[in-house]
Amino acid sequence: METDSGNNQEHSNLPKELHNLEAYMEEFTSFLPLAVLIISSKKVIVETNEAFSKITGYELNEPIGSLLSDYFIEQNNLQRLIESVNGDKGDIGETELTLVLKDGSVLRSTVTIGTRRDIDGSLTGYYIGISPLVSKPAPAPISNDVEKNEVKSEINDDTANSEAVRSEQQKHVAIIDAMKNGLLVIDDNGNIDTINTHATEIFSVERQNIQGKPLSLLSEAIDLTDLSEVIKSTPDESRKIMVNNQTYDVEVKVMNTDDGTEYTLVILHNISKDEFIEDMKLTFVTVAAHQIRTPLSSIRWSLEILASQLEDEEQRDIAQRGYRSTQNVLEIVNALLNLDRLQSGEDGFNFEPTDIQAMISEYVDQVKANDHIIEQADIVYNKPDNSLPKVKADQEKISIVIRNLIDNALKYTPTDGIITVNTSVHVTNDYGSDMIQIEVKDNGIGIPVDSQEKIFSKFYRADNATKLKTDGTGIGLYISKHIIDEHDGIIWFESTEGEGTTFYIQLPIAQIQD
Amino acid sequence: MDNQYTLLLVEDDSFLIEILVKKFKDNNFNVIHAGNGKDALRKAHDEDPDIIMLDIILPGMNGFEILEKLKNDETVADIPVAFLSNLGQKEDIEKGNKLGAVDFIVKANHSLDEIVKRTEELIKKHRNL
Repeated sequence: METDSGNNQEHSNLPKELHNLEAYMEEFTSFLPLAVLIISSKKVIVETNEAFSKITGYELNEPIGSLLSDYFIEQNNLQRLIESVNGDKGDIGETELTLVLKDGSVLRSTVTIGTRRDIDGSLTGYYIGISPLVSKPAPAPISNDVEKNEVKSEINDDTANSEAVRSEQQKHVAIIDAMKNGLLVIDDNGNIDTINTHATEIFSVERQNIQGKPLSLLSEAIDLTDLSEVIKSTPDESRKIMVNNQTYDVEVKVMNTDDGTEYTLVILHNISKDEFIEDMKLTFVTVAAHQIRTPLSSIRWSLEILASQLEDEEQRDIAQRGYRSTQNVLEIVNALLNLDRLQSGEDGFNFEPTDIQAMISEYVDQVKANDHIIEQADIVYNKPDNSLPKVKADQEKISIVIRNLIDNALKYTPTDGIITVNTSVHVTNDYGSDMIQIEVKDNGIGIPVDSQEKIFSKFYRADNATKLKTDGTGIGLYISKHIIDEHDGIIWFESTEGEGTTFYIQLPIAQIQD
Repeated sequence: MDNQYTLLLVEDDSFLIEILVKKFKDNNFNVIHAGNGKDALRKAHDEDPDIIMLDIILPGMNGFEILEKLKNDETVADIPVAFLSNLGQKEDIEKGNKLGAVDFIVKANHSLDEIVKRTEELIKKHRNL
């Protein structure tokens, strides 16, 4: 492709070249599955792409002009990531950060950063690549400094080209090299137009030996041209290939530039690593479940016995506090296990007609049986006169939500608490079926207005909650929302700081044929 | 005492055994303990307990295998068996139910008081059947 290497270009062609280049870049970045942001040296967003919109829910140009730091939670880590690339030209930094989406929810992501520099090497800004970790854990980072520097120096040596074209090219190189997947661009003669660092590693080739050469040089075992032919007729289909004993998911897309040249983009995603990580995660869950919870259970139970048998009041008090702390640790371990299981989608949801009334009664009774809680708050479940129809729910998961809401009401109502749980049939208007509504009302500390938008975000805790209880995880409501969404239900709240909070859930009623 | 229940506790962690035995004894239970599957099967025969509480991860036979053997043995098949374990993933619970367990108690989620209460309820429920 003429815009790629930029050698031997005439100045008179420049406007056309620039135009093509821009069109190409636009198409290129919009196609990229990687969310890309370009920011100025002052960390203001100057460019974004479709993948970023898709992930975050922002309109394509909406983030432009805002600060990069608005989109991440860990400000210190973000700052550190930016600083990590300020030194060496061409360095690439990478870390895990929590991306804040438009709806206030968050997404754990791998964030890659590269610097933008002008012809003199002065810093003009940064390229940011963002890949979410949720469904497919990212493979281990691969160092690609050497090859990238070679490409950059190639570009820097080229004096026939304009600065603008050069800057676009640097952008292009940095973006594709920041990708965690292998990427190839093949021209309509079947030659390799572009190959990123990751792809050179997959095929064990040197970039300078392969760029501009026929695809067949890559590996005799893989005919990627054939593959692209197949997928041309059925776009979006993904295929698997084996290279050097690793399994790759291959995505192929054909794109046309303004001048009618056809390029084929090939993206290789190593799924062997994903499978390995999945295995590791499963093992971790089992280990955590058994090896951590078992000793914690013994500690908790020993303290329970001590608390009930010690004669000395001071000693008894210490044992009681130890008991509660252990209980907190167990809750955190359980919350993390639940989160892990939900996110990996291992469990799936098993919907069946569920007696929500019985579930609430049982838990409320269990809470009431705990003397320590009852000293601090009064909890009442107002059962309706007629028993409610069953809801369509996954019993285990819905019980996590009920427990979370009741536990939160108790936790954040420090004194003279009155917790009321109500259930009713909510008749929906016009269309849609009836729902069961569950309310959990407390007279506790409430949720401050500026925290209300973020309250369902992962690891988020309102300031007044953190002050009252330093040991919360910020996971409970995130999990609850996730579970209710999976049930086609709704969860929301009404809250006034200092007065209390009411959480509402609506769940669909189970149909008779269910 | 007329209201005394006999519990067969199958558990291999010596500290947990000590705690559980103490708690159940304090609550008027007669507690027999077995540290592995073989021992558990023999004691189920000899002592005819009111209920068996089974851990899952045990040396030799695991809890599921022990349950299967108990249910295949006519003389002890009627004794209610509950799991008391720190596993507790959905598939574990489903497997336990399928093999005929009457309950699945996750250790980490309950206080000793709750466990004793639940055990008494399970025995009463079984007697009323």
